[in-house]
Amino acid sequence: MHDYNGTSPLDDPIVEAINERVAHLDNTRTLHIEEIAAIDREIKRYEKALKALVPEEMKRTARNESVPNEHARKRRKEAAMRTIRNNDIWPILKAEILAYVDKHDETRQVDFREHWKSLSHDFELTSSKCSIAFEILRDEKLLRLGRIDGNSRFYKLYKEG
Amino acid sequence: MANKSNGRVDVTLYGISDTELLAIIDDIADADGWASNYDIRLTLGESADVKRSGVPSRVAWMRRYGWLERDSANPSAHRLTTAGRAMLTRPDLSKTMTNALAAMTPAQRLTLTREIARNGGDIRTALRRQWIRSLR
Repeated sequence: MHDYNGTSPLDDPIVEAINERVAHLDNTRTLHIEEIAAIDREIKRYEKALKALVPEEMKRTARNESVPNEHARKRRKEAAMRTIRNNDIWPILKAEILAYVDKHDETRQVDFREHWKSLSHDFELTSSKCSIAFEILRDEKLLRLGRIDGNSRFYKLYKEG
Repeated sequence: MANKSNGRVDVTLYGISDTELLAIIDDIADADGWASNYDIRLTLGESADVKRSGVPSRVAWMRRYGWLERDSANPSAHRLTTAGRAMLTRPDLSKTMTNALAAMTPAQRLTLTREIARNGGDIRTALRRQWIRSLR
């Protein structure tokens, strides 16, 4: 056990100042994230207008170059999650996933997909849909990542109590 | 969460949530509750020869947030504090809570957010980080 001569490091004004600075920077980062999202929405509106006004062949080549768009990817992912959640099969799928993981202590998505195929549901659970379903349950704190072994990700439930 | 081709794993907040990482540490802890950074890295599938892992940094921040404590005899080992364990206790919402949330108007949601932020107490940091992760 460390001896701090009766005072805790938490009382150190330098530590306090650093903590305050970190908290300030975290808040700043959050604000920047929100600003970027707002700018992306504005860009999308302008691009939509441009598309309606400018013929395809007159668009600058640079716009057609493939550039990774992280925010567009996030929007697509959010849309995919909404689609799954709004599907009538979602309550059944959710219950099956949780029951399967509970029964097997840990599981991979590929194992659950094999199990789903053995059930008599019309809903085709592709790898991407399964991935989205598991991600939703992770977001809802009903499922968690347990471990990774090579390319395999094992999912578990949170412990009770 | 992606396994990068260089053997490193995404242990940022966007790759793995705070509660997931705490639960993993709890999973692999020894009888006294301690888990080493090395064991955490292996559990997350990170190559043992990765020189600059993100795990120690993430663990260090969780210690600063008060969710982990360090083993004075082994600085690379940590265990969950009471606050850290509280974050893992029954994270799911009851049906009543879920239904109540679903029925809220946007104005009520804003009010709820304000109340939680104002009365967040010890979990203010956890709330802020969950908000950031959920907005990703």
